[in-house]
Amino acid sequence: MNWLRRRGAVGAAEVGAAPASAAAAQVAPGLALFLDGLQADGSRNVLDLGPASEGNLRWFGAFARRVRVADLLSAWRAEGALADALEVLRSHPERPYDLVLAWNFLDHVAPEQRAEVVACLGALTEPGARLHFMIDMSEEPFVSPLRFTVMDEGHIRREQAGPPQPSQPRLVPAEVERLMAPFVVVHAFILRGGMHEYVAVRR
Amino acid sequence: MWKKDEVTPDHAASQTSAPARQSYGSSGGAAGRGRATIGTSITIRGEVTGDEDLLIEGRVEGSVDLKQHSVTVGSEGQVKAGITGRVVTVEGSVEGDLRAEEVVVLRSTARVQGDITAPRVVLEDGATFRGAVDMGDQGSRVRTGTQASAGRSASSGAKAPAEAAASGNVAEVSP
Repeated sequence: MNWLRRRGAVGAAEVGAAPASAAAAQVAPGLALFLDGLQADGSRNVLDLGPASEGNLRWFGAFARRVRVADLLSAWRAEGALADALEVLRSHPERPYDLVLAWNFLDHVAPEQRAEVVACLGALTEPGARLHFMIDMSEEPFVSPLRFTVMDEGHIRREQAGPPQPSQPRLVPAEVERLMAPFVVVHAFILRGGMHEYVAVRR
Repeated sequence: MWKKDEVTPDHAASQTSAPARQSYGSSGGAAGRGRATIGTSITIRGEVTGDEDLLIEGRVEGSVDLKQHSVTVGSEGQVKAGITGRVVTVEGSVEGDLRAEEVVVLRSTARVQGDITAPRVVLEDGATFRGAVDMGDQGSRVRTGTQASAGRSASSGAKAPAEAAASGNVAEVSP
């Protein structure tokens, strides 16, 4: 049970329950670049793969006519299979999406399923769409999924949300570009604590 | 806000598995005259309409349509229905779309799967929500207080990475 030794891990008796969530502010320079040049004209479709957050809703709502909160890890648990959760995602009528947020999601997907997720994101977007994603590449990844909330144009708050997830092999930077083939990574940052932040554009 | 002692359980107390097209509250009207309650032991399958505020602590499957009134799904409430109201507040569980004239409020205990259409949406920390929020034509009201800062981000964001790098908290790497 190596995953119990990851950051934020709880005692064995508490497995299954979300550990106490300690929110922490994080510099996120890619966020500004992700939004750079966009008018807050409420014209875009936004897809957030993460759990719901009022801060994100308000922030990205300025750019959006519709914000889809997929909470894909939760949907995956509910559907029982990742493929089914992705199928539900494909079924929504507002696609294609112009802005996609994939924060701390691919980290929790098995390596053999990661390409399926990225292919789905490719199918949900059209050329020029922007993707902002964060991957925990630290030595001790967080045991529970992280919920990120935009604080301002350069900072993001992270906190653990949801039950602990089984450990997955870590993504490494060299894999990212190959994995994200439908997209071109245009900015990449290593944040304090080992979180990697990427801004990509759909080819 | 609502007070517990305003609850008038008598409307629902005698009703179980009500037939379709169940209306609530012929005596109600403007907010403040109390509200009807669907109690924890009540299950309704069909269309709930009415002319007063409504608290749902039981189960409802179908639709809830109280356009000019507040609908609250209490912490014990389980709704598989679209809900339309002036103000829609959820503390329990809803599978269905939420549509409000003024505001949709998801309390920290809320579990909602469905789409939201409202000029304002309040999402408390801890609320679980899967669905879309439709900003629609009323989006500008949703954005009050945040649009200015978001707009700044769009126009001046390129400065942030350099500032962040200078602070030592981040390193930019070649993609």
